[in-house]
Amino acid sequence: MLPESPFAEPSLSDAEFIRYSRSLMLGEDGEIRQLRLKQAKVLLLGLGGLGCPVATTLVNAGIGAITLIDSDVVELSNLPRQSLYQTSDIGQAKAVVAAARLRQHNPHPHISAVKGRPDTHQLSQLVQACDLLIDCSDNLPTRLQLNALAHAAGKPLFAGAVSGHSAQIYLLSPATACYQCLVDPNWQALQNCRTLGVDPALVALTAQQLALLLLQYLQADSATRPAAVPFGHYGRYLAWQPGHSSTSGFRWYPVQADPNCGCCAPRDNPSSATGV
Amino acid sequence: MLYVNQQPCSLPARTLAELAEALALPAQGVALVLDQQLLPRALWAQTPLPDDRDHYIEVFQLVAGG
Repeated sequence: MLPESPFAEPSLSDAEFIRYSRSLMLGEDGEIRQLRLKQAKVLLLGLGGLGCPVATTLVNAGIGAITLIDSDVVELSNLPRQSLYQTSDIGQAKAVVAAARLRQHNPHPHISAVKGRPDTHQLSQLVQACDLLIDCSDNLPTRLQLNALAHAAGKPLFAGAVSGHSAQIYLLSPATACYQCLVDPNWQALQNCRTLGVDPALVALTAQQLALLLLQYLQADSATRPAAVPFGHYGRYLAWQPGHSSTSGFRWYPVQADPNCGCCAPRDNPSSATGV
Repeated sequence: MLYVNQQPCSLPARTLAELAEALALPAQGVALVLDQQLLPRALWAQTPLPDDRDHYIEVFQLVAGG
């Protein structure tokens, strides 16, 4: 049975049937899977090289509602990887441009744009209103903040990260280790695209891997959903190396929780988990 | 025998923390996988590397870009 949603009736219009016809052909439960996606509400933070293709795939596939957050404006150096923007968009708010272009791609999803940087209270409210969080941000403080908010709200967190020749994905739920178990909040040597550069093809590959996992999760029924993706795992991309053919592709590792983690470890005062 | 990123490693190390020190890993931004399990740095000092069997360790840099 589908959960109630203010964003969509549990049915597909004729136009949606035609638009999503190729997806509906994917198994006998194609329609119910499409309806589950139509009921889904996600929050995506970061509309760069990862966020643009993830948002595009989710919107084009027929997600019910997506809230897009980014405080940056479009820059010339973004254009090789961030296909929602054009040269004429330089200087404009990414969230606004991306939302407008995605609505042109597909008019059915409910698309919201937040172009500033919401404070923790505003972000908490947005987190509460969504089914899951998608972290495509480009900095450690934001990643730690989303991790803490997702954990406090009991929401799944799907995250991608790329820099240089490295690509990583982590999938976390309240029942698993959290991002802060692995990362020192005081980490200063930030490894991001501004400092290391980035491979455009690797960004696209990582984004679509993340989008595939999101669709698998959002289209699964409630009984199979927890096992639809490898929660509690950290994945990294291993490039093809001559003589090491078995090491190419994404490799997933289960993450062991830090029993003294400042975010997710059990404590007497659980409200302190959001103190980022 | 220890294998670090698929290469045999003869550095003396009784724990993951000792191995990290012997490898001169930076204090932040590095992930360490022992026998397919990604372990938080907080557990490295209490994770032994008994020499009665082989251990496969992967070291990689965590990234934060998007």
